[in-house]
Amino acid sequence: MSAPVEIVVRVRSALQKPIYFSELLAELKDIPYRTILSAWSEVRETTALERDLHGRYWASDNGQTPPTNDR
Amino acid sequence: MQEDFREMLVRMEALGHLQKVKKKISPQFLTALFTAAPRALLCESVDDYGIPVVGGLFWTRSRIAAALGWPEAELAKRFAAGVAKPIKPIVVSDAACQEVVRVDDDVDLTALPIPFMHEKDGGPYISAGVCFAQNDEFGLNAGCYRLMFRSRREMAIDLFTASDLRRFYEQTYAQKRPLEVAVAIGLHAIEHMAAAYKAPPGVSEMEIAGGLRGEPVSLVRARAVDVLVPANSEFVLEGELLPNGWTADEGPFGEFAGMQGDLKHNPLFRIKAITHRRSPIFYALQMPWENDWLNGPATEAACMRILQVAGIQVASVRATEGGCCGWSIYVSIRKRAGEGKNAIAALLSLPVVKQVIVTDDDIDIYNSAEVEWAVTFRCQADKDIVIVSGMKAKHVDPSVRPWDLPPGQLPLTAKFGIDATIPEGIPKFRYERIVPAFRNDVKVEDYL
Repeated sequence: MSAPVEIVVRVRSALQKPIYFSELLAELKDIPYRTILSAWSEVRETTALERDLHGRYWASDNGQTPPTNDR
Repeated sequence: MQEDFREMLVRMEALGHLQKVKKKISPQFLTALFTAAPRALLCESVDDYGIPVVGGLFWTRSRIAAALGWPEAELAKRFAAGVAKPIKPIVVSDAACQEVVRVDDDVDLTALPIPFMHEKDGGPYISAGVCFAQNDEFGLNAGCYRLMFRSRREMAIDLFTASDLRRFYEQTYAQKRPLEVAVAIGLHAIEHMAAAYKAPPGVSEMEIAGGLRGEPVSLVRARAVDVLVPANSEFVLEGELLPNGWTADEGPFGEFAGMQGDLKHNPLFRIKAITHRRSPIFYALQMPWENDWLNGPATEAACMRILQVAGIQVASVRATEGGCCGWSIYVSIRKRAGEGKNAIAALLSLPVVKQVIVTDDDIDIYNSAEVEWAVTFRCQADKDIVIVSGMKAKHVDPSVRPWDLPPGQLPLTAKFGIDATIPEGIPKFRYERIVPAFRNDVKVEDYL
C-alpha cells in the first residue's frame, strides 16, 4: 500500500525537529496507523534520518550518514 | 496430533487465562491494553487490518504454565526432563504456515498489525519473532530476536549481544554475503520457550522442543530461503540479513529488565517473502514479563541442576518476577550443616543470577512473606550474608555503570546471597510455629 503524498509531506514536516516516534504518531492521530507506517516507509527509503542519543529522529538536510557502532 | 498456537489459545480461553475482545482498537493502543488486562487478550478487530492480535500470553507464572499445559510447581522439573531427552524434528512438505504465500511486490510489512509498544521505542516492533537460520557447522538455530519496522520490506534486527545467530552473521558478514533467515511469528509456547533457551552447541532448539513435547516438531522448508521453520507457525517472514554490518539504527526498545534500552546500530533484515496460515493470528509479545517468563523455567532448571551437582537436596526453586525470572532466586533445601552457604556459592556462579535467598524446606518460597520471615528470624547479617565481588555482569544492569567502560569490555558486578536456613547449633523447636487449637475440628464454611 502506498501512502498518499500529503501524508508523506506531513511526516517529513514533523521530522524538521527531533521527535520521538510516539510523538509522530500523536501528531498524526487523525491518520490511520497503517497509512502512517506506509508514509514512514517512503520517508525511510528516500531520506537520511538522524537519531540522537534518546532515539529521537529528524530529517538530515545535509545528507549526513548516521553514526555506527560497528564492532 | 501436535497442539499448535491457535489450539493453545483455545485451551487458554477455556481455562480462563485468555479473553476475546470484539471492540475495535488501533495497534498503537494494544500494549496499553494488554499490560493492564487481568488475562491474555485476543483482539479480534484491529483498525485497518483483517488480522486479530493476541498478547499477554506468558505475562505471569500461571499463564505460562497454562500455555505449556504444565503444573506451575513443575516448570523447572518438566523443562529439565525435556532438555535431557531431545528429539530430532521431522521435515514435512505440506504446511499450514504456507497456506498463503506472498512474494515480490506482494511483500508489504505494513499489511501486518505490527504494534508500536512503548513510549520511547524507535518504532513499531515484532517482539514475538523466532529467527531460524542454518549453518554448515552448527546446523539449524532458533532464537528470539526483536525486529524494528523501517519500511515495507526492511526491518532492523537486534544482534547486539553475543548469540548463535550473531556468530552465523559474523561469518557471512566477513565473506560480504547475506545470511538467509526466516522469522516465525505465532509459535506454541513449547517452541517459543525452546527458542529462548540457549541449547548446547550442536543441539537444535527444535530438538529441545521435541524433548519438551515428547514427540518430534514438524518443520517445513521456507519458500524463498533455504531454512527450516515450524510448519504450524502463524506467519513466516523469509529473507536475508544484509552484509551491512552494525550500521542501521535500531531501538530504543523496552528491554527484558523492565527498562527502556538504548539506541543501537544493528544489521538489516530484507524480506523476500511472507507466508502465513489462512485467517492468521498475529502475536505481540509484551515486555518485560512475557519475555522473562519464557526464560524462567530454564533458569529454575539450571539452578536445580547446579545444586544437584553440589550434592544439595533441593525442595523447590523459584526465579522471582522482581528479578526478571532469572536475576533473583529463592530456593528451599533439605539442609545438612553448611549447605546454606554451599547453595549460595553454587547459585551465584550462574551467569545471570545476582541475588539468592536460601531457606529450609518448611518455608513456602512462593509466599514472599514466609521468605521474609525466614530472613528476619533465621539470619544474622554478619554471618549469613555472603557477598562476592568482581563477578561477570550484564550491560543491561545500570548499577554496574556500563557507560563508563571502554568499548568491548564486559562489566563486573557484586553478587550476594542470604542464608535464611536455621543456623547450625539452634534446635528446630526454637522455631516451632503457633498452631490454632482444634484446627481440624473447625470448618470455616460452617460459619461464613
